Amino acid sequence: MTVVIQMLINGILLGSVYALLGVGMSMIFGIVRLTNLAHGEFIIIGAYGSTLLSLALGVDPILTLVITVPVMFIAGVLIQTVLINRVMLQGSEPALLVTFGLSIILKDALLLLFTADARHANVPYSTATIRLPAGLHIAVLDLVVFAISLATILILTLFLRYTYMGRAIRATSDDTAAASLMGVSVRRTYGIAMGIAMATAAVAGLGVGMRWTFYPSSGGDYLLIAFGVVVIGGMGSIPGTLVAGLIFGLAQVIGGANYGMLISYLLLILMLAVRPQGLFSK
Amino acid sequence: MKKKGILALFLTAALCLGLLAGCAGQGGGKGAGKASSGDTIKIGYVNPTIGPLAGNGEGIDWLIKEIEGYVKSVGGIEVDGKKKNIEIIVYDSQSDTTICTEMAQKLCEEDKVDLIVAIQTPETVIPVSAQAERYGVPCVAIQAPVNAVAGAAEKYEWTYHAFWTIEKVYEQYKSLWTIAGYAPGSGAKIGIAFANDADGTAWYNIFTQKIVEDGYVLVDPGQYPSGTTDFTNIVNKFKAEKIDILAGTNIPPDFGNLFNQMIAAGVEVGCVTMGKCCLLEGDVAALGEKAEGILTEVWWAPTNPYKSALTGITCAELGEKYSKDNGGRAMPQPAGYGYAALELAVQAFINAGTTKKEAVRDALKKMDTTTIVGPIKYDKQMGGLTYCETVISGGQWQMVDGKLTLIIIDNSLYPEVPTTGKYVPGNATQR
Repeated sequence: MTVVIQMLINGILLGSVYALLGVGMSMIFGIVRLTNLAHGEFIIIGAYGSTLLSLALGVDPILTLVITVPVMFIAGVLIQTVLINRVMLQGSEPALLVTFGLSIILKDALLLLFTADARHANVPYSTATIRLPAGLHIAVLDLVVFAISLATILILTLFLRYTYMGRAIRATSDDTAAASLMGVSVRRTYGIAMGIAMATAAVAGLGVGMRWTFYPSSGGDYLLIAFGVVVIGGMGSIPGTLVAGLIFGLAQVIGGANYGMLISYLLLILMLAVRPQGLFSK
Repeated sequence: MKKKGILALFLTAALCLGLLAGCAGQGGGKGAGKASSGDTIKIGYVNPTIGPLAGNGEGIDWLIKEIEGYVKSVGGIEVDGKKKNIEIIVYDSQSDTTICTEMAQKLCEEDKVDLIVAIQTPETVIPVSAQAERYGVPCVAIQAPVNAVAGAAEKYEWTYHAFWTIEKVYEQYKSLWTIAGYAPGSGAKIGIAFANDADGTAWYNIFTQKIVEDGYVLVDPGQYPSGTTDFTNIVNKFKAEKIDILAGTNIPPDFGNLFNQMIAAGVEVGCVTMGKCCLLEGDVAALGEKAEGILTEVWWAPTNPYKSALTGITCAELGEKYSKDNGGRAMPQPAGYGYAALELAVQAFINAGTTKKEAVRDALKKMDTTTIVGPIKYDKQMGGLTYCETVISGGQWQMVDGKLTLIIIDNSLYPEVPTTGKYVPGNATQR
């Protein structure tokens, strides 16, 4: 019984990070209707940002979000308005290729800048553990990342629901033509959406850096997880992403290190066969 | 209808990503497009410059400069009655076995290299040497456990390999376990952690058998795919069985995840022996102080007692030179092997006196020289592979002046390799 509960705990903690990895990608898919193949690299840039800043400034990596989130938000807006909006006129395939090219360029740039060394954001509580009754345990680090993930997704949900910009984004997502008739600037909305997606990648990068070890080339691994989460959750649905992240995380833990990946991706195929639009798609 | 179209695009994109990643690798060569002029001797080299194995491929540009520079400084090598310089053509494998094959093929077909170097873990050595065999190009293979390479093909006719066997590394680990207080026959419980890739499987087969034979208790949670982010079930098993020793060979992310979870779950082990991720300073730095006390095998160190018969440089001099030219970075172990591979390649041409492929292969077969990694003579056979065994010693990561440093604590297998310190008990799981 203890083993089962421990698995559930670890699965939920892991799943929250998976949801965080997928949320930015899901948003871009839902709003801009673009498969952003550079999302993995965005996450790794966030991871480098937090890891190196916390080393340089001697502060907890979480505090570096104050810098990385706005910087990546602006970078996202620029990438969308300067680069992707231009090619989106020709349809979504050229835009897809742009993100693919971006992914390669960013990966190589990271390698050039930071060498191939494995990195990890070290925190004082990296090995601290909360002991619960019956031999259960929760790693403090995992709990912190869990809290960050939930907070990010909650803030994002509230933003989309209650602010003018959030409503504009949702309106554009529902019906681009109608939204632009109502005076919403579609290009600007796309820019902001990419900015937000990149800001979530900054937070996801922090999670990756704190929980795991990463290289310049690690983006692909996380992109794949994000893909899985987005497909299961339903593209563009934020609550769907959260639920899908948890499902994906639990599947991985229940399958164990040996078969976890296999089971997660079998689940993905099953999902595509039975309900291809995802759990929460409109 | 629109949704379906989008979904199809989405999946196509995922598939394309894999395909395009493969294509993207083709343009990365240094000597690409150069015609086979015959003025230089061409040596092909597939190197993992980016990707998870990039730490192994570090320093390749420096190595090429050193060896090409050496040959130039002695006025070239005399082959077929003419002095020629060497040209080392490097392609990046991106740590991907498929790209390794493509690049090796390109070296053989388009660049028409005279010899090919297969180096840096079985993931590179196996696909590259397979192409060398296919095209009949002499191949200096080095730095991948002999068992993994020998098991990959029935017969090797062009490939000559140098490294240690997994039986040897097992002996080395046993010696480290003994030093840590867990002698054979003591019934100590050994938990093993191996990925299901070529390297992990080769180790897994030998370790699971020998551990039991030597009177230890084997705790085997099964192999797992590299890149696993959660090890809950394995940690649970280690915890329930109360293991004394953790042994394995893993890439840094895998070991980092497993070790973190073990510490969080309160698994206390008296001894950790770990290959691969605990070899390089760059990788160990990512683990942070958790790496302190971890034991590993050492195949090359600047303190080793060898002197290159070709260039006359000693291990100490080479290590110093590397640090000086690379901003103070310590020379990584695999770079030592990279140097040795190129030494062997040049030596083969000197001995053959020609670039004729059969003659170069025969020169490799008869090779009897000393490189920076020790004496090389291809006098052993495993399956269809002719190989030479290279030295191995036991090391421990210790804090020296606030920096994790690999100290050689055991030379029982090759006493000529000097130790640089003593075993210090303890590791991160006991804190």
